[in-house]
Formats: sequence, C-alpha cells, structure tokens
Amino acid sequence: MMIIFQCYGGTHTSVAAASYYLGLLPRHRPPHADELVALPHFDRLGHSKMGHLHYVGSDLGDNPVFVLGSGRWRRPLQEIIRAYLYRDGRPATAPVALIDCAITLTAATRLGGFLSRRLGWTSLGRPLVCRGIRRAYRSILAQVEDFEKNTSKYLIAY
Amino acid sequence: MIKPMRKDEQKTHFNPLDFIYYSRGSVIPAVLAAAKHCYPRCGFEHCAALASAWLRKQRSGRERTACFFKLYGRDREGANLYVLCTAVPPLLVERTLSGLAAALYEGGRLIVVSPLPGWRYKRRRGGPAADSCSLASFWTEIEAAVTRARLQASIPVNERL
Repeated sequence: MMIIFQCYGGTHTSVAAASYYLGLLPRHRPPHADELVALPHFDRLGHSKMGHLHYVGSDLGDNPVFVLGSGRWRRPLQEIIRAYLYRDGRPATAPVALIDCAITLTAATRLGGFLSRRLGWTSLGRPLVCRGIRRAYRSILAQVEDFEKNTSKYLIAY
Repeated sequence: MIKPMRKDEQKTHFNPLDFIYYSRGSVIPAVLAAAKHCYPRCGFEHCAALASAWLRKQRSGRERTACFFKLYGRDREGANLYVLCTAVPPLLVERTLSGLAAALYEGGRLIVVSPLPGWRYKRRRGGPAADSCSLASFWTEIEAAVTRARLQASIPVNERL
C-alpha cells in the first residue's frame, strides 16, 4: 500500500502526521520544537515544491509513506488522483491511502507556514508553526490512529 | 495493523507510454489535441468533427464532476491518450501524477501535455469560433503542443533534463 499524507503546503501538518505514523515522534506527549525541526522535510519545502510527492519513510509493513502539498486544490487533486488510478476502469495493483491532514490545521500553523515558507521569515514563522503543531498534536495523532484502525476509510484505490 | 505491501504489488508494469492532454476551463482544447495526436494529418475541421462526436458520446450520461478524465484512445505507437479537464493548475497536476506514476508503476512514462490554449476565454472575446485569424493561431498552438509531446516521448528518459 502507498500512503500519502496531504495538507496545504506538504511541509508541516502532513509531515508531523506522517512522522507520528512512522514512529518518529513520541505519542505520549506534545513534540518539542527541536524534534519537529529535525523531521525530514519539516518547514523546508517551499511553494515551488507543491504537488510533488515527497518520500518520508517506510512503515513496519514496508509500505512507502509520502507527503503531498496541494495548496487550496486539495479536493480536486484527490479527485484527479482517484480518476488517474481508476483510468482504465480498474484500480492500480497497489492500494493507495490518502489522509487529508488539512482538517487539523490551526491558525498558528497557517500563519507560521505563510511567514516561513511564503515570505521566507523562518525565524518568525518556524516557532509559530511548532506552537501550532504542539497545540494540535492530539487531533493530528487522533487522525493517525483513526487511519491505523480504519484504513479502508482512507483508501482511494484498492 | 496495516497490511504489508506484497512484493508483487510494489510496482506494476503498465502501458509504456501515457499522454494526458490537459486543459483548464474547457475540455475542447484537450480533446482537439488528442484528436490531432491520433490523426496527425488531419486539419482543424476534421479534428473538430472527431472531437465533437467523441464529446457527444462522453456526455450522454450528463454526469458533472469537478474533474473530467477520460481515455480518448490509442495512437499508432500504442500509447494511451487521456483527456483531462479540471480547475487545478497544470503544474500541480503534472507533478502529482508524474510522482504517482513513478511510485506505482515500473517502466511506464507519463507525459502531461499542458498548457493548451484556452477556449472559453477566447470565444467570449469573439475568439476561435468567430475570428478566422485567432482560430488559426489557436490551431497552431494545438499543433505545436502535440508536436512537443511527440518529441518529448521520443527522447529517452535518461537523456531528459
């Protein structure tokens, strides 16, 4: 199975969710800022990298995990991916799961992400992003756990 | 517990070459380009007739979705030609689908042909339908896009930048 975590920029919330899933972040407490900054792709992908699938790692079942930034085109892009996978009437052999992390976005993450990635004010934006992720860690974790329990709900091709 | 990925499903072989003709706003430029790709010697009138017949067939169900993605046909080399129309920016579509194809399928290539000239915008301004000059330039752009796609397909993957 191919697992894709999707959010606006593909560099904050989706990276945090993918890291929870892969066990790169502790689940019993909110992550520290330095733990977040040390994650692969965290607050590093700019606007120009939107739409690219970035590999984060493989889970215990050897399923590749990717993050995807899709801007304000989340839903239409999901439809395109689904249409592409079912283009011949039958799905791709490998199932694809898409987890939309944008629902767990907080105002601090949004503002921090804009300052850091769009305006380049990393020193101002990054702490805000980390604070936003720390505040939303329960909802991000809840979504990851929901995916682990009800994987079929997130499958767009199977 | 997430099921592990089986060895045989990690990457599948699929058609060696897929072209996706992508237009934004209206599906007409993409269908015209796909028709031109299938019948390289045909002019605008013939391609327009083919395109309108194909569109009539596709729209018989009257389904309306945010994304129009259909198989147009196959060219002489056996490549699949798809038509895609959606509001999503072409670069985003190209990157995502190329990434997906690279991750899921082995030995296959995907060429997203965009940007194609706009149709609705031009028609509102008395474009292709009304003015023979802008129709000619519209058709030239379509021909150029098809030629570019064919050239892109002829370049081996490892020689592309």
